[in-house]
Amino acid sequence: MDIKIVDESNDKATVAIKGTITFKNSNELRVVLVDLSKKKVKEIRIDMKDVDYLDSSAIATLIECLKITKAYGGALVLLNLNETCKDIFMIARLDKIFTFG
Amino acid sequence: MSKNTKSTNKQLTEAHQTIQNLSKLLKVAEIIVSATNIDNLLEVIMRMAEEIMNAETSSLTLIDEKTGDLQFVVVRGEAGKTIKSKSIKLGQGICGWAAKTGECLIINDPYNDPRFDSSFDKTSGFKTRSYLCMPLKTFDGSIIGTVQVLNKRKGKFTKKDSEIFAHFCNLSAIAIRNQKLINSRNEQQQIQADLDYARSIQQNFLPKKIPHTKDYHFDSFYLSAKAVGGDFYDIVPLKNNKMAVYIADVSGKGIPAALFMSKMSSNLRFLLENEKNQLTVMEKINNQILERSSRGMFITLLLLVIELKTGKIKVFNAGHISPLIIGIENVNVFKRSENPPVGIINGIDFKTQEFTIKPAERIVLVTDGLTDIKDEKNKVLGIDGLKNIIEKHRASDDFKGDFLKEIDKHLKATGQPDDITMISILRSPLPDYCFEQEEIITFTDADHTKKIKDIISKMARKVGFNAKDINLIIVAVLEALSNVVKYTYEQEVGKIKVSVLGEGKILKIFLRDYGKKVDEEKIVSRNLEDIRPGGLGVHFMKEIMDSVEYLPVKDGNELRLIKKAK
Repeated sequence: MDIKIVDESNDKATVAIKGTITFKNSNELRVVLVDLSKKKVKEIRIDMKDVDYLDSSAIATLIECLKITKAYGGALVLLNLNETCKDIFMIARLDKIFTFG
Repeated sequence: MSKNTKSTNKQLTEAHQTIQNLSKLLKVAEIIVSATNIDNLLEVIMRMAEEIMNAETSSLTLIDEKTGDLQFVVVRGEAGKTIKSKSIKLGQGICGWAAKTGECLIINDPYNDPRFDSSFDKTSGFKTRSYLCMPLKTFDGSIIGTVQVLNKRKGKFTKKDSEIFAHFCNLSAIAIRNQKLINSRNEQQQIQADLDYARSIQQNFLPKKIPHTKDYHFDSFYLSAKAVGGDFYDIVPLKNNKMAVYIADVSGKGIPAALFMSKMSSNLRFLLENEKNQLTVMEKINNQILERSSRGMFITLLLLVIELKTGKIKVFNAGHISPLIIGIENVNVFKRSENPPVGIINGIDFKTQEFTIKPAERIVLVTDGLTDIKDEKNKVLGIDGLKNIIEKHRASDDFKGDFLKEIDKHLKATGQPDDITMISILRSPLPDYCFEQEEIITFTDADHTKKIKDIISKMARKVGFNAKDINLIIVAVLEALSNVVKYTYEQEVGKIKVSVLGEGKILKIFLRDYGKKVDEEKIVSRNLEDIRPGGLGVHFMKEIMDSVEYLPVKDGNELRLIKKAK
């Protein structure tokens, strides 16, 4: 997995992820996201264009981050999910809870 | 002479008369068929009518297509000149009545019949004594006119006379109709009628009923192009529990190709049913075409002989597109054959190819009319395009229907220049039977993810899952593996055995580990109302699979994931 923060400003940040997110590396993602939410960035955008697979631990990380951002009135937006990733959100019945851009 | 002998003699005379009349009818048929133009034909018909009915004179009327009236076309004898120009309204006079009702009239006392119009006798000076009038009906039942014979030389017109006269008139009606068509200035109409006829003949040679067997499902469609093409196919049960399936395409189009195809399809069926060795069939058909074809007509022919019990298939391919084999994992075009089409040169040493169709596999045979269709951008479909369509619908319950819908899109865009034929042969999956079982041993520190994914995809597809379901099943299994790594071995190195079974439509995946016993608390699915991380993996598994079950085994755990395909 490869994580990059592209165009970060005070109220907006886009995180581009590449590869597979599983329990083996989801903590790396957690560190990046928790860091951004501590700065109270208003809108955290996660570009998943190059994510081919994510497992429940990745989703757990996203849920954790979603809760933090919501608490300070921010937003977490997921972008460019492929079909398989979308299906995983559907199965977890989290498709209504997250915002997909 | 005794009474008995008298009646026997009478019967003999009658029988003799009938035979004579029938042979006259045969003669009529011959003459009518060989007449070269309509005037000549009508004259012949009337002369024969008088002869057969033993009548003094005769006339023929035809319905004028513009006015709908009966027009005298032939009037024999002296009366001819005065009457020929006259026309009769439908329902008027005896022939008007016959033409209107379609019934035959026998009148032996015309002057006392109210339907008889004596004005014709008055103008011509002829004296009508007896009258037999028959409507001219073509085979589709439409009335095109009437034929009447007048004044029987001996005795009266009888019912028997009318019966023989009816046959005569039916023949004449067809001959007149055909002559009219031939004479018709509208050549296009004639050509179209011929084409329609040729096409209907051709389609009669295609199988009307597709045989089915317990383990094989045969299906086909044939789309005829506007111009008659030369595609043909058949499915012929053979002895020894074998089935022959062939698809063929005659070079060229139009009536010659259609007629040639008609001939060759019956020859092929005969050969297949009577020759034990299919190589002999290929050789004989090659020779037959060489002997009979003109202008270099040839046929591309693909013959498959399936041994139904084993699925073993012998392929005899003479210059035709290779079969497409839709396996569990992919769609493949069978290797090309070196044999030339049949009907080009003699003494070909035909090469045979072989393969086996496994349960749940499908074979598709097509003609080039299908691969030659174009999409709205004028791009030819080709074999790759065909493969894509098949790939898209391989798992469909209505393969033929979905396939046709795709083809239809192309045809609507650019039309159909050639016949299109497709045959599909599906070997049924084995129901309620363990297909096979695959097993893989992995260790928590080794990444066998790809291999495990591959095995599961393959088996899930065999069982009948679609791509989306397969992806989700893999999600469930990967979650289960993660749990083993996290909770049973607690990041230590450990062994995991993954068994994948396909039973009918049921997919079973067993994960066996040799670590510590699973803590029941940790495998409880989380409450969805409460959004928080943790317990998600088990939730995934339970959402995706029909059943998720932990089995306590002596030295570790076994997780059983089970899901049935729809």
